[in-house]
Amino acid sequence: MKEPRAEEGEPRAESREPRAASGVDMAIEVAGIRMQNPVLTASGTFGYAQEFEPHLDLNRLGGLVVKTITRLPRPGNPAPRITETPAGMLNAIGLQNVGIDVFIRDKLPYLRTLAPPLIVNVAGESVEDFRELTKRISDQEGVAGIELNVSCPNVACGLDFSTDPRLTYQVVKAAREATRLPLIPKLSPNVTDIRVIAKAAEEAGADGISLINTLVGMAIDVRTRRPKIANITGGLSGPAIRPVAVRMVWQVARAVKLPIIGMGGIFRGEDAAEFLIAGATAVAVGTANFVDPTNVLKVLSELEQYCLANGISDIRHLVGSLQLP
Amino acid sequence: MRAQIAFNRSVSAPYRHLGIAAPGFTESFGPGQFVMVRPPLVTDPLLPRAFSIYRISLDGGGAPVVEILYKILGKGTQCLSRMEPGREVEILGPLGNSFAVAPDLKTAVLAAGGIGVPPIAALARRLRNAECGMRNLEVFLGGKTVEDILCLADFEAVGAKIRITTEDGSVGTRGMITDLLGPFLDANGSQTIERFGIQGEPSRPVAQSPSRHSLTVFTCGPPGMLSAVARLAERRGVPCQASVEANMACGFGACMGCAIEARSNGPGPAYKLVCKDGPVFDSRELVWR
Repeated sequence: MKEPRAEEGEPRAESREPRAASGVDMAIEVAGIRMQNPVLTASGTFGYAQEFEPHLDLNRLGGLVVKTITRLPRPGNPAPRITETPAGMLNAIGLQNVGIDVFIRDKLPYLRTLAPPLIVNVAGESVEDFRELTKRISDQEGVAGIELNVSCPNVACGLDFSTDPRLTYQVVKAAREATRLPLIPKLSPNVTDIRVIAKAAEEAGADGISLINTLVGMAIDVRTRRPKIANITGGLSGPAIRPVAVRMVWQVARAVKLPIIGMGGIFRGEDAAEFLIAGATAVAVGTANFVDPTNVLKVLSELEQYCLANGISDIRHLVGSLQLP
Repeated sequence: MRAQIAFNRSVSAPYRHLGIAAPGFTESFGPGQFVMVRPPLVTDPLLPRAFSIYRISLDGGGAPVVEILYKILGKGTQCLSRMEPGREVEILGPLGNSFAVAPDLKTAVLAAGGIGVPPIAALARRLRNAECGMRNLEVFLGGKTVEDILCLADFEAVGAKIRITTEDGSVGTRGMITDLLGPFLDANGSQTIERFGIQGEPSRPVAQSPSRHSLTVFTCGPPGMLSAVARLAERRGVPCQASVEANMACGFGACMGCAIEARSNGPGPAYKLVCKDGPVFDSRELVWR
């Protein structure tokens, strides 16, 4: 899978050796995908990467997870779609996207020119949708893995499959039958026991798990008594949700054998370290990309600094290293 | 990029004038373009705030100072208002598009209110400085009260004809901006329309003729004002460019949070992104409510 990209991206060969300076081995493997470091972008917060090209060297990323693709284009939800909340934001974008045909035609060729492994995120309205989307994506060159968005809280027809272990199993199973690429379902935190859902995904043949999607929230303008976003409820993200995310990563890491990509309010290198210590093999930076388009690389360099300062020569030694009293 | 507050002073009750010394920032911008500003390393308030660029001046050392005017409205602007000169901020920009001025434009009608005035003041300066300095600048400023009438000196300096309305009558004519703009467009805009024979057909696009831009309305202000001005212009077949505002997280097209309803050619709704497709739109692209 890497071969065609290596040819197209010759000049980038040098930028793939970022570890030399610190001496910390940052390379990891998650769900069978090798990465030069464990810092990824979270789906829905990094567009299709090209939006960020003016701001940072995309080839320094551990991996690229791009915005959710659906079978048909979606115009998205009415405005206003976002509002700020304490140390966070609520969003109800509504999976606005160009649809899989335009994605393959217009977005994928650019993404293929980038060195980091590409993880395409897909969302279906039915189990069969997931099967078809997975099949079509895995027929394309230059895709390293597929993230299954079984947890979008903001679309009317109830795409939140991952609040039900049976539905989670069915979706992952259907996708499994359609591809040999690594499959990484992204789970909803809006459940009573995340471990039950994670186990269902594991049994159905998932290769890894992304944790967490946004928490369903709501904010009201008390002056007008109207909801602050048109969808009434939205997904809460940002530092406000980090403790919830860390807790769920810790719970799931002990319940399943699958590697975890941890996310939820990561802004600094130490935030990323927290997820790795809790048991995540890799992390994804989300909302921070909006606040500062270069933030994801700051997380990477600060994480490396953290390792250096704490005598960690190999990032893998940090994974699951939680010390209990 | 990391930059430093050069000044941060009160203009009138809730309005403040902020200068951000940003070496390495571009000296050129299009009127209507904006910047995202936030204090560094703060996660509450979380998101940067979008501000239209009022002016980019040069400091004593020849480095660019990005100037904005802002109104204290919420947590972000309150936080900004307490930042002293010398404090560091993060600034990203210039972002978005800008007002488009046709080379044969004869009369620019500038209609603005409140915190919508600064980009319009920037446009007025640009129109006067442009090589073709023969344009008539007809300015309509509106607001609730005298404090909402900003940048008067800028419009005076470029020799614009200025009309002011306030809802409380504290300065200018008591009433809304459209009370004066409507009759003005009736008297001046209609000539353009009659010449091309499209009067009474409000939804038809303005005729494709080199002279179709002899008069254009440029507007920025609160949503109610924008909507009223856009409809007023459209009913008279006068081209209108409106700079709009929306809640924004990133400012460069990644979050898709700043969607605004656009006129749809298909059965479903259509949206544009204020940060990327705008903030300036031909008023006929958008749905006005």
